Amino acid sequence: MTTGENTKHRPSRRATPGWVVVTLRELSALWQGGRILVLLIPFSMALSAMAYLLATNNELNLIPPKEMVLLVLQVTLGVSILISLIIGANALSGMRENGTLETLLVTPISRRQIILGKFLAALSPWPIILAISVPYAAILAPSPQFLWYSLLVISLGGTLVVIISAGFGLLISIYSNSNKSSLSISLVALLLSLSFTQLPGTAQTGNIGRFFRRINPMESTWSFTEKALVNNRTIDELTSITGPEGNWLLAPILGAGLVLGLLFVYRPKLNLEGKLDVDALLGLFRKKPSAGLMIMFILAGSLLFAPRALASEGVVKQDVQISIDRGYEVKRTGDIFNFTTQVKNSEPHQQSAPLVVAMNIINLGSGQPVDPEDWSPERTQAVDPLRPGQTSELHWEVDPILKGDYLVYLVVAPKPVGSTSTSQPVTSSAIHLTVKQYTWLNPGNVLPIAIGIPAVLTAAWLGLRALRRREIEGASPTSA
Amino acid sequence: MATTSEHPAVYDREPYLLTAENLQKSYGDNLALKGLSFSLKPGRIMGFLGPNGAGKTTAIRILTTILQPTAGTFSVNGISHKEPTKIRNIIGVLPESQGFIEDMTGVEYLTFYGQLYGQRASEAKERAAGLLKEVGLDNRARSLVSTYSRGMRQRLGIARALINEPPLLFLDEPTLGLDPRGQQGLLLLLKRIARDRGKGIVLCSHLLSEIEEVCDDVVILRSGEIVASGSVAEVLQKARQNNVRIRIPAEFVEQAKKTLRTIPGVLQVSQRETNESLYWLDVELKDMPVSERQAKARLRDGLLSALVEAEIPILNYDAAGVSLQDVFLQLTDEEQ
Repeated sequence: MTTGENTKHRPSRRATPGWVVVTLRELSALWQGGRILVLLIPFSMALSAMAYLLATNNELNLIPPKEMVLLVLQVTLGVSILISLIIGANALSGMRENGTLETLLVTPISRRQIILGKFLAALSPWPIILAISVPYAAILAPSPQFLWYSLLVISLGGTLVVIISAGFGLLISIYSNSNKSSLSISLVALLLSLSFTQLPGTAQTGNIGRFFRRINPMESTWSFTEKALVNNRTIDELTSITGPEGNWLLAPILGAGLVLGLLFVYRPKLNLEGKLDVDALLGLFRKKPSAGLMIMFILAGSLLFAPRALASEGVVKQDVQISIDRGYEVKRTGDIFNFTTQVKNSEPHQQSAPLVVAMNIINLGSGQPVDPEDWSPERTQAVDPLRPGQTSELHWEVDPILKGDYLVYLVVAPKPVGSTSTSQPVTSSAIHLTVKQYTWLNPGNVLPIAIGIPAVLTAAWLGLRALRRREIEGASPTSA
Repeated sequence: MATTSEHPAVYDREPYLLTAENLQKSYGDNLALKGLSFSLKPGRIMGFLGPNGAGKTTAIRILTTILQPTAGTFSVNGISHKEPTKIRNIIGVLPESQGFIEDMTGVEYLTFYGQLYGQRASEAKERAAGLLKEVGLDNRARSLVSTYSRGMRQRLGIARALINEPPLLFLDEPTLGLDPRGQQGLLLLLKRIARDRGKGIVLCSHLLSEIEEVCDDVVILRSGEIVASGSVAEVLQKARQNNVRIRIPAEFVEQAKKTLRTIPGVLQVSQRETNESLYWLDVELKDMPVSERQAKARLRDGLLSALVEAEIPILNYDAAGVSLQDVFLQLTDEEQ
């Protein structure tokens, strides 16, 4: 040991940045210590059960494959949100509780580096959990292309909400004096953010309902994922500020920006004592009006780009005709097919009213209509007024998601001229669409994955434990 | 302040390791510290004493940069408190309510902290091994901290406080919860660290005997104020020179007080009831320089003579047995 350095001590050259040291330590505690793996084993077992039932149960097998993938990925995202929130909420209040925070605060590492290290560790389960879900999504996906597309969609939305949940938990933890308060506040906030889905349908679909779906990052991401994977909307459509859908990722992006800003720009004071109560939270915004302004900005931004209100309908009588380019089609589930329609204004002298062409699909087996939104990116198309004799060509895409016999037909509705008039819709001939059994999903493929993934995780957990035990010796307590 | 004593020729030439000037801390209207000023030189151990709520922990947390002072200044090795990161680089701290990372081994624990002080992993591991040997934990280096006993944890905590080779250590109740053997071992370790390695140590403790045993200097706090400071020897000597305790039966108390107050040199006589029939009289004598030791002895003898002449039975007489505990109790008695 060295001696006599008391007056001229200089710290050694920093080899590893402090935030890296903290991150590695946290990762070791979470993963090497097995705390997260223990949670992921039941998670993988639940996914296994779900995938097996979806693939083998006749009734569940009626769920379209895309919805199966959506289900798996939404469960994955939900678990990731919950785990990252808990890790974040536990990160600093837990250290306060067990008395390890003071020894960390008296080291020269900055508070910001401590927070960064904890934050990165709280994000770490997300890519691992997503990776675990990939084999399940792969065996359920209707095509490899859809698998990659769905992973891209969930990665985009999921990363943003996991940043929000981990960061939010960490913020609460910074101000909380105990795990109990930080966990309870974080979980209540998460439940509140999801509670909207429990409201009656009309409350969710009205203007206020749509507004809240927009400003709630969780709801927005949920809608983004669902629309992208099931409702045939493209990522461009769902992230375009000027498009009819508005930007469904705006709230998550702003939410993640707000959380990162609060953590690393606002720099909350990480003190030895946590004082979280309602007054303290309100005090935060009183002291830093900019934080409040950022929230207002999110609300205003989301409102601005909320979906456009549907146009009101009216009435007129027109001589328009619609023809379709085929009468019969045989496809497999997951196969996309396109067809073309022509809308003609047969009036010799009169320009048509603005027209709306709507696609309808009827299941001949059950006699029930299907939701065209799930089957096609475009349920309706608008046609500008047609001159006398003019024809407009429209292209349609149908993505059959369930086997069966269907009729696909279109209806042209001229826009009425006033509130007291009406119009005569015109129907096209139909395409008789036969959709054959989806062949990608092979129940025989499900079982190895359903058993294999939990087994691999269990083996990884046991392996890490064994490795750790090798590093440790003398497990029996010894007195001083 | 607490800087003189056994080796003045050596220490007076050295700069102060820690100086505090008029440190104050308030929480709302409550003034927790009311202007602390003291200093510490290298190689010395300073005891921080005070009853619960006296402000010891607040003072330590300010000096270790966990809290900011409301007013006043302090510096460590010449570094102002306005540069807390630099100060954290050159101090080691063992907090009273410290926790340990249970799922790490001893060597991993110290290596982790070494890296937080900017050491390379290999360097930190090497230092960790050396420190574990120094505190007697080298045979448990690869055991989980969760398996350590209380005494082992305290020694591990001291090793952690030394991981950055700090010139100044703050140790808050390091022997709390240890058995007598563990306490003794730890105190010997602290002495060795201060003497052999030239560290300055600020030691908070409720065990006055251990302060008396290992500390060179002492600061006694009461209600956020320093009520006594200096070297332990100075504080004790002052108490010994100026106080006499006499135990007498209850029925002679008034007569004895009257008799003693007539003697020149007696400043104050107060009484403490020990049971229903016996009283201690605390007799405070006028301050005299150490050089007038003989005059003070004559004065003490005069007290005895006066009481004997008044035929007052003397059951106990204690002129030289004042301990640091007595000084502490006397100075921190809120009712005085």
